[in-house]
This record gives sequence, structure tokens and C-alpha cells, in this order.
Amino acid sequence: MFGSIFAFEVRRSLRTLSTYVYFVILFAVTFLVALLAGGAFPEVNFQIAGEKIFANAPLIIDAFFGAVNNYIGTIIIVALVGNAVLNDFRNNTYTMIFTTPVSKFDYLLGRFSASMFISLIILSAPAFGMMLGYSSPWVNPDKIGAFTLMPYVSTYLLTTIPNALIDGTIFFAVSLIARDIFVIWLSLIIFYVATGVSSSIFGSLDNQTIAAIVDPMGNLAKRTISKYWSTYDKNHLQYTLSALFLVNRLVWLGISAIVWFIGYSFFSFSSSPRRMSFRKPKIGESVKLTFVPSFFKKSELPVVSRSFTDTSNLKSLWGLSINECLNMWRNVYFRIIMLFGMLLLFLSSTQLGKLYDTTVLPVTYIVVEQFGGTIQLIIVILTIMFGGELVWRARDFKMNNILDSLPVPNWVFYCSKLAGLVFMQILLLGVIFSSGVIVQLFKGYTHLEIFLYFKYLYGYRLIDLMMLAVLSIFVQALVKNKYLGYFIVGIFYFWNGTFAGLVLKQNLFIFSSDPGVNYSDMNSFGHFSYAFFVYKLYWGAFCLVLAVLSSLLWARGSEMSISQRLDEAMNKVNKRSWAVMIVGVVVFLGCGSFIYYNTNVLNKFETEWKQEEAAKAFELKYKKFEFSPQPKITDVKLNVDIFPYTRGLRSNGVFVLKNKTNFNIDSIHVALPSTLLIHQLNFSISSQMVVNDSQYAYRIYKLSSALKPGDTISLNFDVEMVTKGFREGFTGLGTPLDNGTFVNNLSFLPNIGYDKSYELTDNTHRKKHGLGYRKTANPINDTPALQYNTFVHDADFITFDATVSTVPDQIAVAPGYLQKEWMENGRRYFHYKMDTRILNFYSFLSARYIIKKEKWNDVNIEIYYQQGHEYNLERMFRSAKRSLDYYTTHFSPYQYKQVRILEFPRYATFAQSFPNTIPFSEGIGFIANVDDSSKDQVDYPFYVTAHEIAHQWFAHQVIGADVEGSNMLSESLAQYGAIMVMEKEYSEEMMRKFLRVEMDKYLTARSNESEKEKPWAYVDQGQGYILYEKGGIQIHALNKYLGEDSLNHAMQRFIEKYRFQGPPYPITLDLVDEIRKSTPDSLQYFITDAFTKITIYDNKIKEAKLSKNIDDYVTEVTVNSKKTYSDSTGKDSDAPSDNYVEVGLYKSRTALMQVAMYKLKPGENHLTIISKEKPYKVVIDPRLLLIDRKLDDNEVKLEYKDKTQDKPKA
Amino acid sequence: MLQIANLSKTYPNGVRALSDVNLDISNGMFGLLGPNGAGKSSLMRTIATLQDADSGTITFNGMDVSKNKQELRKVLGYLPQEFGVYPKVSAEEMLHYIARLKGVSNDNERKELVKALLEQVNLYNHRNKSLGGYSGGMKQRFGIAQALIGNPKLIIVDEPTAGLDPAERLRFNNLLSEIGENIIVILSTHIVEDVNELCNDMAIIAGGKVVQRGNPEELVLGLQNRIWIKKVRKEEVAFYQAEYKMVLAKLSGGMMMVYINSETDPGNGFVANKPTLEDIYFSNIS
Repeated sequence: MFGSIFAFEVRRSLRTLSTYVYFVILFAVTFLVALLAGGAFPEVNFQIAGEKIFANAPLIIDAFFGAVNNYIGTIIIVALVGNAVLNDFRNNTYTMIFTTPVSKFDYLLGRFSASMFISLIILSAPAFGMMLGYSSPWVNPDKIGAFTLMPYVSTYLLTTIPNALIDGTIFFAVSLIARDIFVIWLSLIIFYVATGVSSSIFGSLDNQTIAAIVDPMGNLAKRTISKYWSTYDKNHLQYTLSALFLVNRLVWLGISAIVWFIGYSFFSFSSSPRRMSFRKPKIGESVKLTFVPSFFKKSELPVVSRSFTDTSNLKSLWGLSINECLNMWRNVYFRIIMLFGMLLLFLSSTQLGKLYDTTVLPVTYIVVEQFGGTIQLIIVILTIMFGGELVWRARDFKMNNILDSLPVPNWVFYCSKLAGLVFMQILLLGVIFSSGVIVQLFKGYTHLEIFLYFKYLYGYRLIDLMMLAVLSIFVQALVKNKYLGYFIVGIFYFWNGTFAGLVLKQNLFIFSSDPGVNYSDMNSFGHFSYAFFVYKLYWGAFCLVLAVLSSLLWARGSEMSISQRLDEAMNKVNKRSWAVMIVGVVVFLGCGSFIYYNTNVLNKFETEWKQEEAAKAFELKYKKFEFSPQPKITDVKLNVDIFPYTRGLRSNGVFVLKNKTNFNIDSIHVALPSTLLIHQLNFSISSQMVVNDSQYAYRIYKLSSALKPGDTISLNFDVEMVTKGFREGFTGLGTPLDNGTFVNNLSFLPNIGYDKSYELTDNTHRKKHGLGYRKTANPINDTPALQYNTFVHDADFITFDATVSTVPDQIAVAPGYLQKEWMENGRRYFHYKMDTRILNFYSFLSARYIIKKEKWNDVNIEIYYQQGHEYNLERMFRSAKRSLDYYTTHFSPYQYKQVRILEFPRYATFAQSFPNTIPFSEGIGFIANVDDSSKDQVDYPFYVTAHEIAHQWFAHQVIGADVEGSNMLSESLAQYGAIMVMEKEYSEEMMRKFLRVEMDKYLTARSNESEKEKPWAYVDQGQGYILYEKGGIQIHALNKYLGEDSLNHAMQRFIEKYRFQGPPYPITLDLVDEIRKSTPDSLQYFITDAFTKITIYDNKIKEAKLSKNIDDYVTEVTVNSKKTYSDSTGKDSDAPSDNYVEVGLYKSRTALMQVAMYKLKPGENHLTIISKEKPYKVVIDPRLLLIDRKLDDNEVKLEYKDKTQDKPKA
Repeated sequence: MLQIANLSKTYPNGVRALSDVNLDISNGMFGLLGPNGAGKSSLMRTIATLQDADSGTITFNGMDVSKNKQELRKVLGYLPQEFGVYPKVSAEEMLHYIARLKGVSNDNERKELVKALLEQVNLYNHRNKSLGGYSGGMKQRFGIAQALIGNPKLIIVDEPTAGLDPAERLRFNNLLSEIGENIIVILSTHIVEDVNELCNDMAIIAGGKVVQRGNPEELVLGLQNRIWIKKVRKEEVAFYQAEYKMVLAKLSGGMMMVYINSETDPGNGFVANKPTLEDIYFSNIS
């Protein structure tokens, strides 16, 4: 019986066109994605993982399969499995089937397995798409590893099938219980969202194991396996059914089976579903069976006026729209979803803007953005789903026979459906609004910005959603199968959000796109609104065309092929619709041209590929001048006028250049940003411009008389930055802004000599463009490079004098001390001058600042901030004071009389140290919500401030040479300062939390390394994970291994030797030398491991036993110690030597009681630790001094069994 | 005046639903009689603007329907053969909805109209009940109520009495008989009685073709003295079928009653029978 049901259903599906359409579309999409990933289109830079990871690495195959299954596969599964039984009710075939002797089990299992079987066949399409894509001749052979079938098979078996089964059983069971497609959709949404929320809530490091099991799709479980895989591993290993992944699969298959049987037991062969309510049905009055003759009198019907004018059409449109909206509002499931959404938002409010597990204050824009992001998927799914339901409602309920013959123009039908859908979106956005306000109030945040909510939600967000609504209805109006419609809209949405940008490059071609809007408390919606609305007008016009087409081609009547509908649309009664469409087309083309004019004519638009081509041409043309002797800037005197409202900047000034070489210099190379207007550029010695390359703004001036060694020359210039119209991409910092300008000299002032930062650096990309391998940095023994520092080549230390002007209500700031402030010609002027020499790297800021000042000894600490952002000023001041304290005590004196922290808009989230000036993003720190009662939240406003202030020493006092490793001297040492200041201020526990996050970041990032991992002393500038994360951990470890004083003495000697020195500039090995001098012989190995090797431990406690010895507690521990050295590709080799490792006892879960260093040999070691107090647990390397791949096996909880209690009581 | 000229329609699957149909229909109740699958619904749907014919025209009061669908819809009342209802929507709500779509945009007038309609079709007491819970008869009454909205000039009722119990059918036909004055009502049915009771003009359609046309009484008169019947055994039916122009054979007390059409007395035990519309029907479709 089962067999025949199964076979019948499978045959039926195989006769259905949509089965093949699903398969073919999935196949085509993955084929295309495989081509993109495989580098078939060199101009499309599509990276899923590191550059060195093959496009067909098992991991990537798995990721594609997983994504297809998650986003598109579910639609297929709802369509097939969710409807497997529902179809019988819809087609009334249930009456026949339920009355046959087929058993419930056979029937349900037959339907389920047949629909599952077909779904699984369809879901195998991605494998074939990928295989064909990767083996096609168009892919780049460098991106493709050897073909093996195994990854496809194993992914299909371990991921696709189980996940589809989980989805399928849930939808199937829900369909059996509720017999309503809405409930299936509801369950889909809940399923999606619950998955997302659980992974974000369990996302923190401490909960990885739970998260791995809770995630039904197994992605987090897989992540725990591959998290720290090296590039080599990623190319060669595949997920095996082991550990957490196995547990996950078993747990979820078990849950699926239970869900299936719940659905099964709920189902009965009856026409109506089992009642889920506890209300007893009311027994209605019985219908009288006596014959009542009709007393119909047509003449008694009231005469009503009817009108079919536009006004009355509009009126009925209004009525119909109200009707659609009411339907939506009354939809129980929709209300459930809204409630669910609220619940979800409340849950997610605990995660607001988390950084180091510290949340930010619930300021309106953060709430709107995060809530909007959380609920986005719900709104999108509902828009796609209700789009279909609204369009198909009449047909699904067979009301179309009546409705289609009514004298209503199509557009009235169409608009009412659209209104219903948009109404739904408005309600859902209302959920964001109301939950947002509730969360804010609940968190005691009373600065309610209701108007901002409305602008954000209904001004910006709704527009995009409406476009999706139009699209969704358009597709549904054309297709002949609702699910096919969902599928197409789903795929399009997915494509539009991911690949469209990569392939089509310009927003002009990406549906409903815009350059981006980013709200900032400082700069509000800034200059983004204008471009945003132009783009929205453009896409709005496009949607108008879609809308008119939808309404013209609205399916009406019993058989309407597209060609018939087109004929119908051509009818002359529709001429007004066509006129509207023409208006749409005209506006679309008009706006399009206007956008093109702005983005491609007024401003330069270059695809990434074109930019790289330009970089290549630049390199080929001018690389030969890299080592031609050039003078260096020694003195800078500037006037900088900032025009916030027109977003312009003009600067004139004088650079004094000195020939510090031993050669005569006869020509000077000047490079400028190519978008700059150059009003004047000349030298104090007469000169002739012999090269003027306007493409790169590269100029070569031949001097009439050569500049002799030691001679100086001055360069006078007058340049202007002009903002014209709007650009293709998001423009945030780097150009003047209405409020919150932050620019540095590199963006508008002349650079002397060949600037290699224009070169194409990424070696994979270089290869694509036919350029040779380029070293990622100069070798550490490259003596000529010691003449230059890591920041800029065209200067060493300079004198600095700048007059900055801005609009009257803003304050403009540059490095140096304020000499004078005055008003002139309606503008506000500030004159800054620095009394010591600084690096040739400085910033200009202008904003409506409030200033708060405090003092540490005789240093002024000033914070320039946006009104309202007072929340963390105290932390920043405290951090500044503690920092100045520590650094002046342990490193060297502070060279300035002032520290200024200046807030800038959140378009970028970093802080950066310039001489006595620290621009600090609004997005980090200023609105952080540090809970001091929680011991493991990192106070990152404090931490970031300490880090930046440390840069006043490391970078602005000591700067490394332009060779590999040098960035470590600024970043890792600044990290050291910050960690030390933090350690003095905060608990052990918080430090541990911090270091744990850093450790995880390092280990994760190194597994994504695209070039090669370098040891700390040779680190590249781009290897942030080594500079910051690994650097911080290691220097903190050095502090503990060598002792704070020893290390600090070494630092002092190093700073003393190289302070304000250069050229030649120091290198990391100079620091290592100083540190070695402070290191006992026994620990020299540790210096080597830290600086010149990539050292990774895998320590663990095998077992531990606690006993009592009269007064003391005795802990006997077996530890396993393992140290490996990693090569640059991540391949490990064992290091056989002994190592010093700390082992400590905790008195509670979090309080470290005692810790001691032990010399451990590789492998097993037995230790005995005596303690006065009863220990709670024993931990190897409790202070996280060593990079350890697996931390959760580093501790064992101690169970103390009192022997006396074991004895039976007499 | 509804004129149907040379109307033909073949479905994509090859079924020829209408083949050169010509009909002129004027005010009054017009019966369209035909067996299942004869093309009645195709014709109805084509008139109701729900589908297009391959060739031929439909003209209503001089207006080409296929080119002026919207205009026809303004004067149309249509009760389809099969229609569903939205669950959880009451009759009153649905009538309001449709009235709005039919251009009754004045709220008060619409309220009046819906109330009157509900009363007239005996649904007023059930007005708040979800349509999903209506019985077949109630659903059909709701169907005619919605068709009547907006004072239509052309009403098409497609197989309205199929599936109704005798009392409901009677009531429904009573109702229909009231609305046929001064407007065109096209009633398609396969129940001969309906046409007999209601129509003053009719056509029989079979295999997509109009095979008989006229006033039911006149048509019956035309068969005067031509219908002969005889009770035979079941196994003899084949013989009579071959020998005579047989109209139909139906069960009668365990035997078969054979009806034949003959201008002269066939003898052989046949007796004359008073012709009915049913005879016309069967002589045309057999």
C-alpha cells in the first residue's frame, strides 16, 4: 500500500512542470555561482573565504549547499512537503482517499516520503550545477582544486538530507495539525528566526557547545569543527560526522522524528482538523426544514446609483484597500507573527551592539537598525508570502469566477492588493517602533526620538519594502503557480542582495539599491538623503512600470495565457495605463541619466577591476622612480578652510623640503589625489613641469638648478577639494561633512616622490592583472628602507603650523596648541601650532562640539563631543589619566601638554591617534553601555582610550622603519599599554574575558589568512590579527613571564634609544634585543617562540584529584602539554622542548586563588599542588598567556570527597 | 439584445468547446439546455468576459463584448456554475465587497441594498454567518443575490440548481422567475424541468453546437404525435435502438421504457405519448 502511494505520488510529481523548473533554476543558479566563485569573470571579485581557498574546497561546497537549502530549499519543501497532504483537502480528493481502506500510516508516510524524495532530488541540483561550473573551461584554474566527488556526496548526505528532513518534518507535521498553509509559513518564520536568535544568543564564546547543538541546520556545529582550520586544512579537509556535529545531527533527527509522530498522532481521516481550542462549539439553532416559499420581489430592491467614474473607482479602491487591510489585521496568524516579532525584538535587545560582550545604549538609531535587521527576514518572507496569497486568494478560494466578471478595472484590484501588502509592512515596522520605545523605556533610556523613528522606518525603510512588495505582486501576477512565484521572488531577492552588486557593479542596475544611508547623531542623515531619494525615485519609477504591467497583465478569467493577457492589455481602453507607464519609463530614464551624470560624469566611477588596472598602469609607468632621490618635508605651514555645508575644502600652504640624501636632486615628483583641483603648485626655485599626468595627478618638476645635499627648497600650493553631486558608493569620512568633518593630510595635500601605496598589493589580484609577485613588506634587513618610517616616505619629523577655518557654529581642530581664535568674513578661524616635531601625518576636524576639560598633573585632557553623548566621558577621562600615569611612570615622559579626544560620525568605527589629537568614532565608546556590576563586560571606552593614548608613545615617539614587523612597534605596544592600564583598573575576570575574545579572534583570523602568516617580529601591516590580538596576548604574556619591571625596563631602554629618532628608524629586532637583555637564559626560548616563530600550544588537564592532608588540600593533576610550530600556511610540526606553563587553582568558578609556573615536558606531566584553602578547580594557563587552540579542556573541576564520610557509619 | 455570431472555441488540449454558435437572445429568461460537457459553461464564461473565443463575436446592444469587457461587466450579473467563498467572511461582508466593486459607492445606498438583498433571498438571519458554513441552497441564494447587485441588464446563471434539494430548487426557481422581466437572463442547465418552468426561449446545445432553438412550448408542439413509447425487457433495447429512431430508454418498474420518434404509428406495441421538453432534449442530444 505504501509502495503504491509512494510510486503514484512520485509519478505525479514527475509529470508536474514545476518540479523541473525548480531543478533547472537551482542548477542554473549554482552553476552561475560556481562560475563566479571560480573566477570565470575576472572582473567580478567574489570571495567567500580566503584568497588561497579553492572555490571547490569541501567547505565552500558545503556552504553553497547549505545556503541554497536554507534560503531557497525551504520554499521548495513548503511547496512540496507542506502541501503533500493539504492538496487533498484543497482538491477535495480527501473524500475519496479517506474512505479507502488505506491505513493512516501508509497514507501519511507515503505522501511524506514521496514529497521528501522529490524535494531531495530537486535539492541535489546544486551539486550538479557546481560540478559543471567548476569543471567548465571558463573558471580560473588557480581557484579550483582537484575534482573529487566525495565532498558533494558527503555534504548531500550530512547536510542537505538531514536539514531537508528537519524542515520537511516540521512543515509536514504542522500541515497535519493545522491543515493551513499559513501556519506552515508561520512555522517557517519561527523556525528561521528561532535559529537566528539562538545562534546570536548562544553566539558568545562561552556557549559555543550549546549553540552548536541548538542550531538545527548544523552550521554552528560545523563551525566549531572548522573554526581554526588553516588554509591547507580548508582546501583538503571535509566535515566528518564526529563530535558536536554528530551530536547535532542525531539530536535534530531525533527531534524531527518526534515532531513527525506528533503530527501523525494529531491527524485523523476526517474532514476537519482536530480542534485545538478548548471552547465548546456553540450549538446553533437548528435550521427549520419547513418549506418557505420565496417571496422575492425584484421591485422591492432599492434603486442604487452606480458610477464608474475615476472618482468612484478611487472610492472603491479605498474601500477595497480598507478591506484588504482589515483582512490582514484580522488574520490570526499575522497577529501571532507580530507578537512573535515583538518577543524576538525584546530578546535581541539584550544583544544591542555588542562589542566584547558589552552592549551599547539603546539610542534610537541603534535600536532601529538592529531591530530592523533582526526582523528584516520576517518582513521579507511575509511580503513574499502575502504577495502570493493576496494575488492568488480569489483563485485559491474559487472566488475568481465571480470577482473577475465584476466591472472593476484591473488597477483597482491591483492597487488594493498592494495597499494590503504595504499595510502589512507598515504594521511590522510599527512593531519595530513600539518594541523599540518599550525597550528604551525599559532600559531607562528616556531620550525618545519619535520623529527619528518615523523618518527611519517610514521614510527610508518602507520605500525599499514597498519595492519588494511591487516586485512580489508583479511576479505572482505573471506566474501560473504560486510556489513558483515564491521561488522566483526568493531567488531574485537573494541574488539582488548578494551577487547583483558583484556582477552588475553599479546601483543603476541593482533593483531598489542606493548608495547607502547611515544615520549619525552628529551628522544626522547628512548628505545621504539626497542621493538616496534620487535613487528611490529612479527605482520607484521602475516599480511604477512593474505596477502598471502587473495591472495590465492581471490574470482575469478562466484561461489567460501571457499572450492572451498581452492582447488584452493592448486594448485601447487601457491607454491611460500605458500613459502612466510611459511616465514611469520617462522618469526612470530621466533619473537614470541624472544618476549616471552624477556618478559617472561629475564624479569618476571605476569598478574594482578598472581601479586595479589603473593601479597597474601607475606602477608600470612610475615604479622606476621609486628610488630616485627626493627631498623630505621638514616644515609644514598651512591654511585649511573647511566648508561643511558645501562639503568643500580649500588649502594653501608651504612645505619646506630638504635634500637629506647624498645626491643632487634635479627633479621633484609630486603626487596628489586625482580628484583634487590644483590652483597653484610651485617651488621657490624656478622649475618646469615636465610630466603632468592628470589621471593620477602625478607631476614631475625639473628644477632649474639641482638641489644639493643639505639644501632646502619650499613648495607653495593651493588646492581644493570639491564635492560635486553624489557618487556611486557611500561617502562618509575623508570628505568634509555637514557636521563632523574628519580628514587627514593624505587626502588633500601633496605627497613628495613615488607613493607605493597606489600599487596593487594583493598578490592574487596582481596575478590576475599579469603583474609579478610583490613582497608584502620590505624585508627586515633592507637597509635602504630604514631611511623611511612606516607612515610616510616623504618626511621624518616636521614642524607644524596650521590655521583652520570653518563655519561659525563649529569648532575646527588640528594637531598642535591653539594660538588664537577669531572671526573673519563670517568664518571662524583657529590657529594651531605644535612646539615639537611630529610625524607628517595629521588630521583636521570640524563639528559643533561641546568641550569638557580635565587635568592630569599639568596635562590638559579635553574631550570634544556631540551634545548628548556624555555617557562615557568619565570613563575616557579616567582612562586617559590612568594611561598617562602608567606610561609616564613606566615608559617615558609625555611629549605634549595636552590630550584631545574628538568625536567623529560613526561612518567608520575606529579611533586613531594623531599628535595630541585622537579622533574617536561615535560608534565605539561614546554610546557604550558598560555595566560595572558585571565582571566580565569589557569596558571598551576605557580600553580604546588607553590604546590610543599609548600611541602617543608608540608611533608618535618611537616609529619603526618601513620594513616588515614595524607596525608591531606601534600597534602591539599600544595594545600592551592598554592591557596594562586595564589590568590595573579591572578584575582578573574581565582580563580573562578580554584575552579569551582576543585569542578566539586571532585563531579564527589566522585560519582565513590569504597570503601567509608571519611571526610577530615580521608581521605585515595588513595582519591586524597578529598586530592586535596575538600581539596583545603575547606582550601580556611577556609581562608575566619576565615580570612587569623587567619588561618595562627593556621598553624604557628601547624608547630612550629611539625616541624621535630616525632616520634610520628602528626595527622589531631592536626591541627584541632589549627584551632579551632582560630575559634569563631559561626563558630565552620563550622570546624566540613569541617573536620569531608561530607558536601554538595545546595544553590540557587530563585528570585531577583532590585530597586533604591534615591542614592542606592536595591537588594531584595530570596535565598534557603540547607545543607546535606552525609554518606560514598553517601546517604544524611538534616542538619537542620543555616549556614553562602556569597552573593555577581557583577558589570559585571565577576567583583565581594561586598560580605557579611549572616546567612541563611534552606529553604527560604529574603535578602536586598544595593549597590552604579548598580549591574549586584546577586550570592550566589560567591567565591565558599562551596561544592555545582548545581552551575548554584546560580546566577540571575538583571534587573533594571527605573520606570519613565514605565510611559506613557505625 | 444579445447576439452571438459564429462563436468558436477550441481549448489548448484539443477539446472543441464551441463550434460556430449563433444565437440571438432578447429580454426574458433564456434557457440553455445541454448535457455535461456540451459547452454551456464555455459559452457562459465567454459571455461573462472570463474567456475569449477563438473566432466569432458577441454583441450586447450593439456593443462588441470582447472589445468592451469592462462595459459589459457594468451591466452583468453572473452566477458561476462553481464558485468558492472566503472562509470566515460573512455573506453581508461579501455582498458589501461585491457591491463596492460593482460601483455602488454610496455607503448608505449600499447598506440598504445589501440588507434588502439579504432579506429578499432569505439570508438575512444568516447574514453574519461565515459563508464557509452555508448549505448548498444558501450558497446559491447568496450567489444570485450578488449577481443582482447593480441592476444588471444581463444575468447569467450557470447550472444554479444542480445539487439542490427539491425544495431549494423550487425556491430558487421561484426566485429566478421574478428577475427575468425586462432584462436578459440566461439560464444554463441540464435539468429539463428548469427550462420548462422558467423559460420562454431556449436553445439546446450539444457537442459545442446549437442543435435546437425556440420557444419550449412551440418545440413541444412540434413533436406532437411523434413520440411513441413501449415497455420492453432490458436486453431488447439494443434491438429497438437499431430499428427505430430512439429518443431514450429509461427504467420503468424493472423494465425499460423505450421512447421513439416517429411521424407515423410504428405499431409493434408502441403507444402514443404526449411529448415533453425532455423528449426534445433527448432527441437532440442522442
